[in-house]
Amino acid sequence: MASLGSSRLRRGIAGLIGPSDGEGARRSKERPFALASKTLLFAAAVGVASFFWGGRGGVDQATLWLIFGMLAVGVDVWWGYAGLLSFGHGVFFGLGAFGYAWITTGSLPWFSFLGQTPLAGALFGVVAATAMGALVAYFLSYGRVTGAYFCIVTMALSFLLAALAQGTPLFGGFTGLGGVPPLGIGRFSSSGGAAMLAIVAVTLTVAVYLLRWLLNTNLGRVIDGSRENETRIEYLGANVPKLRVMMMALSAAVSGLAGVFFAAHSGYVSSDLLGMGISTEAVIWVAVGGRMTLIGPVIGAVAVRAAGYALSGVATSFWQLFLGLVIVILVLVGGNGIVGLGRATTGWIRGKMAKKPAVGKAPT
Amino acid sequence: MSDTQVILLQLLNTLVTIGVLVLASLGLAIIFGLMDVLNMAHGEFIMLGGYTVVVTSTWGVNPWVGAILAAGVVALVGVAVERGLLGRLSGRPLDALLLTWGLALILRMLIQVIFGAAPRTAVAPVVGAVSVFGTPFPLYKLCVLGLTIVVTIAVLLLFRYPTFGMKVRATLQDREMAACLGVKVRNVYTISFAIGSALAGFAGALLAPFISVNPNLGGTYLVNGFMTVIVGGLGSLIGTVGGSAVIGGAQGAIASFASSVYAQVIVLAIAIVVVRIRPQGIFTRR
Amino acid sequence: MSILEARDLGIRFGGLWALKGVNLSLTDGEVHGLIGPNGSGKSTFFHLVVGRFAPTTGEVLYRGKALTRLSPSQRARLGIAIKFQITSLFEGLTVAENIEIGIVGRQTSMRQLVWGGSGRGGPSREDNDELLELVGLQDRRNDLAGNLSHGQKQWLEIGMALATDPELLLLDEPTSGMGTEETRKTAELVLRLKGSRTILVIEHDMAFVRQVADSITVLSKGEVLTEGTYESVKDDQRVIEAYLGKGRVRDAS
Repeated sequence: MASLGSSRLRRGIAGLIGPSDGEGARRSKERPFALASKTLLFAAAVGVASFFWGGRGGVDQATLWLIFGMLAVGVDVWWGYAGLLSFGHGVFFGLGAFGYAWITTGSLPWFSFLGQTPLAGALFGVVAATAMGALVAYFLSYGRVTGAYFCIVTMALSFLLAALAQGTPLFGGFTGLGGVPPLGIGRFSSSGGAAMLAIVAVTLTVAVYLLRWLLNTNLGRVIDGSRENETRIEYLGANVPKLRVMMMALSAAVSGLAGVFFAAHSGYVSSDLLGMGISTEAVIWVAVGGRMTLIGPVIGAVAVRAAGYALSGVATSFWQLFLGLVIVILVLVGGNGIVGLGRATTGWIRGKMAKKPAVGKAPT
Repeated sequence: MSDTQVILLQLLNTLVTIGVLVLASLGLAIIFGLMDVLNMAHGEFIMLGGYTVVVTSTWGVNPWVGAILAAGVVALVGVAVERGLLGRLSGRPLDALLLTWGLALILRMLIQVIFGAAPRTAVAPVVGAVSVFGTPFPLYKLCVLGLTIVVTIAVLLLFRYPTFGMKVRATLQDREMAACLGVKVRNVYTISFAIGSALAGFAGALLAPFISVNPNLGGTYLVNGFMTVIVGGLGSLIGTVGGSAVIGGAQGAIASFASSVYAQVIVLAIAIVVVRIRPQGIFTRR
Repeated sequence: MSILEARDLGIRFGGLWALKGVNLSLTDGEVHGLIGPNGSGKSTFFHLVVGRFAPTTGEVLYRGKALTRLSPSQRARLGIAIKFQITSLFEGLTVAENIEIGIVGRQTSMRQLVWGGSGRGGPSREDNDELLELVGLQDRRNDLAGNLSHGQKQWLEIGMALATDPELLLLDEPTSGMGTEETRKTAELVLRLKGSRTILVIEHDMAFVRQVADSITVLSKGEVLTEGTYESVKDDQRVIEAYLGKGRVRDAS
């Protein structure tokens, strides 16, 4: 960059970050292809970097992070776009994971007609998660539960379902269920490594593409309206509860799919997947990466998890403490996470370049 | 023991449960009702109260005094939080939520780092039992019940009558107008937050002998507290009492024949249904 | 049958009857003024029509059909649009986006929202531009709604209401906060809409009412005082006693 005094730099950065748009943030109208390509590139970069860092083990870690990224995207669909904070997405993630585990290990005699193929498991997991999402949204949206109340109820749901699962043998009780088979179709089965990373990365990319496309339609506009001013759009004729059920179903489906991948990848599921740990960390990933961006959550999930992995030598209590501090600082400082910062930076650079055409300084 | 005695005993136990719930939720209701802030660190405030009394007990301080100290300590923490953190947000309720969540994490982990994760025990200030309905009933539980009633009435009166209560209700209705009329809104918020926090700390201290004091005890109280507030209705402290009665009563009743986790899940289901059919809470008038 | 009819409409808040025994009937295509001193229940009437409150007595009929059981969004889909007295916009979105939402807001079928409409990019620019032009905001299409002046926000609200292609348009004090020129433009706009839609206007500005209204209902203390054309109403002793209209001083046209 051209020479900047350190105080000017500081002021400049403060100006970038600025007060948070909060619930009124406008989303970009980025084309689905562009966004999806960026996502794929990011995923690939993460995969390659982790390979150089840690070989095959590193790649497996990266796959896990991308899976969490998918969960974060699910949360963003709900929190970022529909605009309601949920501390309960672990429920959908967990249901997806358990659904896959149950079907592929044949633990549900009632559903044995579906077979035990990974595909059946995946479908079951996603459907279970989606159904749960629609159910929760139905009760809460038609009951006009919003804002903080919504938060509490979803949090309570997550907390209690996890506690319930801990005591239930079907969920594996305290120890969880192991021996979950990996993904595969027919004779081909991926047991980790680059193949699994590729599958997850591609699915993530396709999901982002479809979501972006969907949100660019009129549906996206109406969702914006319901988020920005729920009462107003009702007087314009919108059926907000129905919209919310749709969005939650979508959000739960994506989260459930992430859960399926988790189960297939780690071969093991336990009741705390349903609980508040995952639910709340997912919110942190989205906050760190940037709400209402779809790609931000992926970046946030990878960043937070990677940082956690790097610091894993240190005791877990310090890690949680660090997370807590990160949230507090993020909220106080405002802005919209990493992606928000990135966009503000490019905007600022463009502004600077536009202002100084004739002066002899070289553009950055 | 005759059947009536069993039932009466159950009733008394349930009353104690409700009392505990009221104590634990009153602080939350005040903060949520007044400032629209969901204090996600509420459970941790209770936890801090518990740890305070554990610490003061090891210094030989009488647990009753310890409980008051706990209220004071947590009130101070509340003031620091409100002034230093929440105050900077200028009314973004969901951001406040996230902020207090982060705070909860920090508090939980700080305590864990300082005291370790193993549970601590606290000794009750009074031991022994009193004969109630023909069987021994822990004296301490009765004391807690009594204190709960006293404190609840005190708080209700505080917010209803003196000038302070008026200012609070005015601010609740219309913040800007109250400010125009000379109410120092900032102070109203800070004091209310302090009271809410003090109540949480006090509750934690009183509960300490019943429960295992560990860094993670906050979760249950948070969830229970919120369900109480949902069912009872917002903006009404009496509603909180009523909500506690419903939730506590239901939990007590169900827990007598099912595990407590199932009881909580069923109660959550009840809460969700209540929210669906009567969103303003059972005890408020829309 | 008339497009909108109120029959013995009344609502009580606690001990106070905000509206009592109100009977009103609108003819298709007319512009009808609703006037009265502050507190006479005009806005409350709107709220009852639009579904924000439920009446204590009586009912509101839209083309003969009772609205009582319908929610505000259902009523909006029937063709009733309202511009509230206090502006309520999508402040964080642009002017153009606000209008877009007005256009597509009432589509409730997912298929329509995703596949239908005028192209997947949103309502067509022409639909959007037309409306923006109508309310004179096309130059500010890309500005955030929150940054508009008070008068412009009122127009945007009118634009959004029109975007729903309503049969019945309720305007609550459309000229509040506007200067003479803006008021004149608003009157022009209302006159342009007359005939193709039915418009019910609450206003304090008598000159405006005289310009646009075919007939007027006067409310006082929650009850109908009288009805008639501007001429017959303005000299009515009871009306003058009930309040002194602002329009006396401003004879804009």
